[in-house]
Amino acid sequence: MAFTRRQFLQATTAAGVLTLADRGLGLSLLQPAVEVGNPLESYPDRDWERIYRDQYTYDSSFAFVCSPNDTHACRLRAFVKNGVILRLEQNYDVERYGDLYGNKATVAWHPRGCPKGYTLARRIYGPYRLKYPIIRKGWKQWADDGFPELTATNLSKYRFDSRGQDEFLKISWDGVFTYVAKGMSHIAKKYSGEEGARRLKAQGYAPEMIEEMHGAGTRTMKLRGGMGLLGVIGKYGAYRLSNTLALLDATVRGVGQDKALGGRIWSNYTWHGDQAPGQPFVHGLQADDADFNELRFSKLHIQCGKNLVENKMPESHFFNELMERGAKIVTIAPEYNAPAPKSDYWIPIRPQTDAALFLGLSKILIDEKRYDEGFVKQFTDLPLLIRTDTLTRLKAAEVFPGYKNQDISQGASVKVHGLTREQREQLGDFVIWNLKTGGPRAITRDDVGKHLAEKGIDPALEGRYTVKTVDGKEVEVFTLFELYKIHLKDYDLDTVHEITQAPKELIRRLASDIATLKPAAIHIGEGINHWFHATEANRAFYLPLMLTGNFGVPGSGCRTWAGNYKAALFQGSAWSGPGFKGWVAEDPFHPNLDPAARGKEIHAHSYTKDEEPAYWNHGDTPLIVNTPKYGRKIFTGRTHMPTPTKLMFFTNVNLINNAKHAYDMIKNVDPKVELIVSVDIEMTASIEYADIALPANSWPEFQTLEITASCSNPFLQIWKGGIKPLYDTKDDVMILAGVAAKLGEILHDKRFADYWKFALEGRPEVYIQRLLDSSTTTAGYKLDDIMAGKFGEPGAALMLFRTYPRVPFWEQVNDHVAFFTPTGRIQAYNDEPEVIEYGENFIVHREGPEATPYLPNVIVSSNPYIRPDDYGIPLDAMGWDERTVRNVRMPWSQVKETKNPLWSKGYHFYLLTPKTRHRVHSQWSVCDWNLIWDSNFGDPYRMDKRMAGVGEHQLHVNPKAARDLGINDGDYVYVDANPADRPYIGWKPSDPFYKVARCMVRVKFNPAYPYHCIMMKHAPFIATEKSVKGHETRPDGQATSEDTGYQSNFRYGSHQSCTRNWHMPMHQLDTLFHKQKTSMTFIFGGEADNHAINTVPKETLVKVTKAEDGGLGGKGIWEPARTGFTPGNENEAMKRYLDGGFIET
Amino acid sequence: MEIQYDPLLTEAVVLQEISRRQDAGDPGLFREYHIAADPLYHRRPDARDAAFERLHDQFFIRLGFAERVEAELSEFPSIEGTASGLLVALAASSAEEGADLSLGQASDNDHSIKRIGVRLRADRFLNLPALHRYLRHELLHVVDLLDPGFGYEGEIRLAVASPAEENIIRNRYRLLWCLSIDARLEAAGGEPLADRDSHRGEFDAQYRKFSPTIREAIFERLWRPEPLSHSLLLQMATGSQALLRIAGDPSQTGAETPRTVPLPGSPCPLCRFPTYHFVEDHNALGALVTEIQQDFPDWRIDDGLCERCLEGYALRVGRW
Repeated sequence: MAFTRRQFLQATTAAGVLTLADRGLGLSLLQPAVEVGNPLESYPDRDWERIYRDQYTYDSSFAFVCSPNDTHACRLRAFVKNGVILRLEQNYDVERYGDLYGNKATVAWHPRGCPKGYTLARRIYGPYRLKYPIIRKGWKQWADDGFPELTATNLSKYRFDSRGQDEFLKISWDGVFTYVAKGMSHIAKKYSGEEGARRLKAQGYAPEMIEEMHGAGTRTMKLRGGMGLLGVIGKYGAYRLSNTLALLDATVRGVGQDKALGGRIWSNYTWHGDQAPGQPFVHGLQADDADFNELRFSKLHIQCGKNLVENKMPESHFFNELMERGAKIVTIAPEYNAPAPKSDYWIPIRPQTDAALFLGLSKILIDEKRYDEGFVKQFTDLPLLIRTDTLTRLKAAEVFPGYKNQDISQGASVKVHGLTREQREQLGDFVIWNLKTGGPRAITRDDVGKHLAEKGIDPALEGRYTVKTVDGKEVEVFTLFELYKIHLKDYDLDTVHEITQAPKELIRRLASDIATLKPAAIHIGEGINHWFHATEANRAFYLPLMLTGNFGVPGSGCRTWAGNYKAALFQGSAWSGPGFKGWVAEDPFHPNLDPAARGKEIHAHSYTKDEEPAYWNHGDTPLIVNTPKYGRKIFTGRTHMPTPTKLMFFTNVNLINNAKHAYDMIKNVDPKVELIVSVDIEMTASIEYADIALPANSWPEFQTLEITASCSNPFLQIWKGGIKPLYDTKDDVMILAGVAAKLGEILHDKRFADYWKFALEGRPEVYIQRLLDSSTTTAGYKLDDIMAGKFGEPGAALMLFRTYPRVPFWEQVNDHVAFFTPTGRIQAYNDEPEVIEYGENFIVHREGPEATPYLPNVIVSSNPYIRPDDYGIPLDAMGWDERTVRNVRMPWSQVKETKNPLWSKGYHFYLLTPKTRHRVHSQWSVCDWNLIWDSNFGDPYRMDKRMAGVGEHQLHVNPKAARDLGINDGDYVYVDANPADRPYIGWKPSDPFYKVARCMVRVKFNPAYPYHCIMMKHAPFIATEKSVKGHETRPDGQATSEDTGYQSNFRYGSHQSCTRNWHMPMHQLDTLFHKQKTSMTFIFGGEADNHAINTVPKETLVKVTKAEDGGLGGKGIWEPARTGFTPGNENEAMKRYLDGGFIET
Repeated sequence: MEIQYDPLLTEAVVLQEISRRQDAGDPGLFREYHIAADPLYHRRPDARDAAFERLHDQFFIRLGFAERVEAELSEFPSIEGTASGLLVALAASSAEEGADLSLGQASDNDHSIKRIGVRLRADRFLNLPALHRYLRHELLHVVDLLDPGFGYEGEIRLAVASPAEENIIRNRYRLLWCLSIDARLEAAGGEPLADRDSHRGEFDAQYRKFSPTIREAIFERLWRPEPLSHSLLLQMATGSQALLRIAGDPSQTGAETPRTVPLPGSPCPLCRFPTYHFVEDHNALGALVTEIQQDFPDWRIDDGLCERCLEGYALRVGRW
């Protein structure tokens, strides 16, 4: 760097002369060319106005759907001139959308579209597009050399351990399809049979994982179409490709279709941490969400860990409307966030203590008898009897000699919900204490609502009894309600205040509001679900709603919002056909090749098995802990068991970039993955660490039809693009079909091509029609009619829901049918054996395994009916898995005296990582305008050459917390998490990769955040080896990779330097009974996106230390912080203004 | 030597003086100025600015400001004899103020051309005694730059790992040089820009990691009439060894032997990330030293390490 004492005034040596000359030139240009008197009367020449107006003319326009994972699926209109999109606008069409019955959507949905939609063209025409297929040089060499054994030497030779430093080669489509097919074929063979199992065992995989493969090498292949609903054909088509692999397995192992196995299908919703994982425990459904216009009916609207303002942008006006409709609005969040100033009151809360808050609210409702007794008896499990010896629900067969389960074959559980005979027998019937007869009485799952009274049943809510079991034992039983009165003693107002740090008067106020205002709804999001104990928080939210009857009524319930996961929108049934499964799991051994075949005729048979990427993210292992008490113990249920990962194929997801603990994946896990294929439209970090990239068309470039729907609105959207692809790119479905066809070609098996026949012919509409035919929500629609605009707008129609708006549990409460739980009732208690062992049979507050100042993972309770097993793991054990499974129960008085060793070592910041309004996941991360908007440091000129790009990722910090650390507003800082495993396991300063992986980010003072909470938005583009090299060697300092052109948002590291995966035992049960997501059936145990590990990036504590000054070029304080008008640096005038002192009366 | 004044400066100073006199109850200068200035608005636009510049120049001279500057300059005959020109320009803030030397432009083949630039805030001219102290201080910097003994040869590139590190060095250089300038001014019977106590306070804050005894010894060595060379200043600003050497033999001063103190913002010798958190207590490293040297054989304790690296190594030996 140059060193001068001061800058010399180069330009001013002849300042006077220069300025005079410059001014003279400038002034002469301003002389009027023509003298005009009154220009309104006459003007000599107005042709220039035509030029001005003509810049807005266009040759044509077309509508398409902007379909990222924000759930809105807004239809935009593109205006095209000379084949180029000039601009994008909202289409303003929704009030024309109709359904088969003449119903229309409300005009109140308008307007739909956000600034991200407006800037989409900058991405399409931007410099980061993938222009043609590319293949990593080292991987290609490995393939060309005949896929030699990957010894340690060969791993390095072919750069599996240094993918980020390898180069990419351009390749033709036919060429790349051939390599992918050959790679798949090789991997399938290599890991099949006993030889394959032996190899995997030698590589150190858990025997349970190998066993789960059942000898099929295809089971090492993980395919993900993400978020699949965003493009059911092209994105979820990756699952169909996984199903295709059953044909590969049949060839490799020489087995018939009865034994053939396809690949694994990786989840989306739970992988993102988007699900509210506790919800299936309460009502049995994957998620409780509604059409957003349902929100307007609430009279009490609570946003808890949810920011509708920033993250549901086209729909947040429904929340604003509540103000006009006289509703009360409450925000619960650690920080004074965007919804808070629009609320009647904001409740500040310590992160991850929401369960305690809602337990406290419930105690107030119960103590003051402010509950709806009728609703509680009719629809909740609170009247059911619980055995105090086993902690399980009392079953009718245990207490009534010779009891046979009652016949419910004509009830909704069987006739509508698909309960099987085996399931019915396994669940049995339950027992209440009938006040009318003064004794125990059996009830079935269908005995809900009015049916109780019809049967002469009035269950006791309170009570403690002794019953004699059929084996002669006398057993003490309580009603669950009575047990909750005991349980909630630990959640009195003073204790809840101490745990949560929420003000007591606001807790009381909220309890009173919930008791008196109806309908009441709670809206939650990643602010809750990204924490380890989200399960408990989710369950706790429902408790006051259960007590007050806020279910099934528009404007009531607990709604969870995040991504657009809801494949269930295309649900199959016995009467309609296979629905969604007909596309992703049509039987590849018996595909229907008749283009006119109706959807119901499609035979679905899934040869795949779903799997959570969380296992890959955990070192490619399940949760297995060597416990002092029991030795080696597996906490991952059989229904969740992963298999080793040898191939990753993902489309429309920046999988590696968005992985928690991303640098650990790159460094320690992915070297063992033998083929990584990414399908995307832009260059990403995932591609920099992949082997093959396949370039896809963007939404306006689609050449064939695509279909999507939404979990937050009732719109069925079908579209294709209106401009030709700019580059050598293909539609997603054509890419998948191309891979499949090439597999068939090299294996000489036409079944592969047959399975993708209509895609290969460029007619995916055949599959779309089948989907429409066979889904309960679209049966009856004809694709041609929809595209002709018969339902209001070409390509759009309304999903056929029972109600508009769609309201969860409307049927349960209005038609008096069972919920989807074992009891048929909304559950405040779970008695699965694992749940009892983990100490979570009651809804309870637990501190997190990392993000807590107290003993990690402690259960805060003195309830004697919580009997957790600690497995002998000592209290000071700090291994990440040990902390995860250790279950210790303590009352709060004892918990508050404990300390988290990590917190004591200075890791005392909760790192919140919510979504930004300017991105959707990592999409738009390199759109220049969005980058500039996304932070306070956006600068299109990059005057500070240290900036990674034209924007700068920032860390919001409380000003006092920053000052206590010697950090000024605008300074660069390091954000470091537990050194035991972050940024990656085994890091050391001598490893050059450490320089890539450590997080450096810029501080922004924000007094809205409490002292110990800092915030960085999630999913920016991470630093890679090439981007760091670019940053350190380019004259302009931009963090751009030289060969790939990848643009990082960080100089070093990313927020994933601080995150990691946690394996929640409560998310890996084999015994949880709940509804399957895409059909009217029930299952026990795991299902991806439904009951599976829901990843939790917020479960982290970090330390922040200064790295560099924020002033230009690293000198002094960042200039805007010196104006006196920024938070934390206010001058006297600003202080006076904030005090209201500018106005005097 | 030709002296040029930036039109922005002369305008700002003149208007400021008019305003000052008005506030003091004297409208005379205001009237006089406007009698001369108002007709200029009727001139053609391309001639207007030049006319105002001439007007402000005249008032600047008439009010005695030019004479003040020339008088200061005359106290430094070495400048007048060496530099070919002086430009006095306007500084918008204190951060922009100062004097500097240009050793000719790239287009000149003759690099003996030396021009001086001085930037001043306009409000300096409201307090002429303070202006005097400031100009003397700044011009003495220029004297040093022109002195072959000082050894200044234009831009120098430092081998630093980060802007933060450069910033630290620059600040220390400024502190030490200004200290030397004012020490010389005081010794010559003149009034320094900042007095000895002020400089002592700034020095103590910058070098608080040294013991008070060491700091006292160093400061006494610096607060002397003998000028310091550019290379010595740079050595002292870059590392602590040069400063410790001029403090003399530690055994004579009775001070403990200090260890090397890495500059805040310097890169950690292990991870190379710039850091403000070097480990302070080297005695606690113990067995970690061996562990560190396995990865960095040339590393010694005195080289220091950052707290994050310490944590990493402590974990490896089970001491975290």
